[in-house]
Amino acid sequence: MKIQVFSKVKKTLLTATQSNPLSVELCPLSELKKNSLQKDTIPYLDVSDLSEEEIKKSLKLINSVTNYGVWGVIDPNGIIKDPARLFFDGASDYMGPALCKEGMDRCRLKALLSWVEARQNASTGNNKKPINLAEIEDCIAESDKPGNAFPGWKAIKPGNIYNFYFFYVSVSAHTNLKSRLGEKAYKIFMDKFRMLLQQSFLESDCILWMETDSNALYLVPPKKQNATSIIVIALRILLSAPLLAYEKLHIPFPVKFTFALHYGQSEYAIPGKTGTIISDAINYIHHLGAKKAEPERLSISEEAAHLLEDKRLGQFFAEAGVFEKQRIFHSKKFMYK
Amino acid sequence: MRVKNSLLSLCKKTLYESISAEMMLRFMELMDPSYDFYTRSGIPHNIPVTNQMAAERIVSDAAEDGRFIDLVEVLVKVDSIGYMGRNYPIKGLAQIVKAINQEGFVFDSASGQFFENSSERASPDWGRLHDGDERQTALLRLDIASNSSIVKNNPVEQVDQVYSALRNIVQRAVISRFGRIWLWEGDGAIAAFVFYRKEAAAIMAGMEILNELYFYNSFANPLPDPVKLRVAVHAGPIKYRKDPIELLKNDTIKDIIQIEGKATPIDNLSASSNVFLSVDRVIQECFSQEKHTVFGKLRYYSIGLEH
Repeated sequence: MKIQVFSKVKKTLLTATQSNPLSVELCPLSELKKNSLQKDTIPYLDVSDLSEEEIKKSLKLINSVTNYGVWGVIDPNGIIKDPARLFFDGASDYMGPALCKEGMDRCRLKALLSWVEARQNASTGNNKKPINLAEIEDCIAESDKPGNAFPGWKAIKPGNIYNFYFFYVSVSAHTNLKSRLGEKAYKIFMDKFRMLLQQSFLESDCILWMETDSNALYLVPPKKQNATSIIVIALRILLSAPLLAYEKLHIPFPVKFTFALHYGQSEYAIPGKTGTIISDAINYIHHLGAKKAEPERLSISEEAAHLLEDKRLGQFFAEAGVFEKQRIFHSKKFMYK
Repeated sequence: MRVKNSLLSLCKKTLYESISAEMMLRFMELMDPSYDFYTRSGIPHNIPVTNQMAAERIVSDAAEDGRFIDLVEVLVKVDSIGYMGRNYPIKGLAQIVKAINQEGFVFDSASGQFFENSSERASPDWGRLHDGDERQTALLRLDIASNSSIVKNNPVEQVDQVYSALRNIVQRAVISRFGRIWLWEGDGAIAAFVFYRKEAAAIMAGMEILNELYFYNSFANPLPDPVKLRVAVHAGPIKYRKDPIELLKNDTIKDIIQIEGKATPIDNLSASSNVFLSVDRVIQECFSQEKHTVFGKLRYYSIGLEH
């Protein structure tokens, strides 16, 4: 999560605190336009050196461009006579001369977001898109971790290090399956399986990163909602495996899928050019998938186990010992009676 | 299906340019054994019938009886595999098939039948059945357990939200397998499967409904208690009626209502033996052993989680 300060002056007086810092970026006021805001950004207007007319115009503009209906005003010289008026006009924060010196930190941002959410809940008939606090908290949580913040698949840079969820997929007993189907039919089966997974995983915004003829590794953005979504989809696939195998993959005998999920850090490379990457997280997910994960189950490493704090997900999992110094959680098998 | 005049003209022209009047009458009788050309046309038997006259009459009668697509299906069959050991190539048939496709049907070359394109519309008669048609049909019946207490004990908006989600789940499972929902009462529904591998489609739709509801209850259900269903699949002859009250008078529908209500436990899908045998082993293995009930032999499918 980033703060973007739009200002006419070349240096903003707003600083980030040292103890609990937050990324603050200064932008020229002329760049404050529709669709100019980056994702996961909260805009602030620095009113220093602005005339009354310019302030009025800029306030209107910032109110219309904001991502989450959240924006604030920075007033290092105390030129705003009636700060409460700003709130009547839709502002969510006001930082006067003293606060500007103190700086902006994450605690203030969290308090601000909670207040905005409460305000939106209280107001009925508000047409604005409701704030997604979970999404924003995800961004804040992500920026707490080492490595670069995930910028989205379009802006991601090969060579940089990011946090990801790694999702491992394999078809159990693939050698046996290959000999039963034959080389050509096995290839068709794997193509159909890839297609099925990619359609199912759309919601979780993941990408197919590495693939062999028996398993695949998907990269999931380091956001709780994406990872939660992929867990639910995997459980759904495990439950419906007989139907999917028969109807979508056209296999006349039972096929078992094995899934594993891990959270960690890795250098990013575009799919197909991942051969030179050296990463503990990638080693771990491959070991977990190949050596510890079991057919008809989703195995989750301790690093990704925070996702199971959600009781709705947690009920599907049980602890399954330790693997390479990490606790492992296996999904319970679905039984047909 | 309302057939356009241009399509009728094209079919007439194709017929009289490709086959003799005598063969046209034979093919018409293949489609409808009760069809009598001379009675319908009023032409005496001793008057010779030209190819044009026969094509004109046959195509018009088929369209009038709502059997135009059935006639084209017979022609496609004759064109591809011949009749009584002889080939009867019909020129221009591809154009007729294309024109029918444009009317919202798709031709399935495996079964040699036209089907309503489900992505465009899903009418209860598939655009093919007529009032009074009798077909072997696989039925799926579902009932929401404790419906009245759900409605009584929860806010209306939440109940509406849940029932609308359930309806979506059922619709997706049924329509995607070329079934049709015939009746949806407050607490239950009846869906029918007439074409393709109807028995397997009905069973797999029932399995998908229970699977999807399981996840809906785990992650999205706003009500304090899970929504529970009883689902039954059964097959038998059905006389299709547009009027739902008349449709419910079919014995097969009465039977499935009994099977669902009296022999199916909550959260279970029951399949009667006449549908179960048509399903492949990979799906059969998900069901319980056969159980004898007063409504015949039944097998059950339900979902559980390992302890």
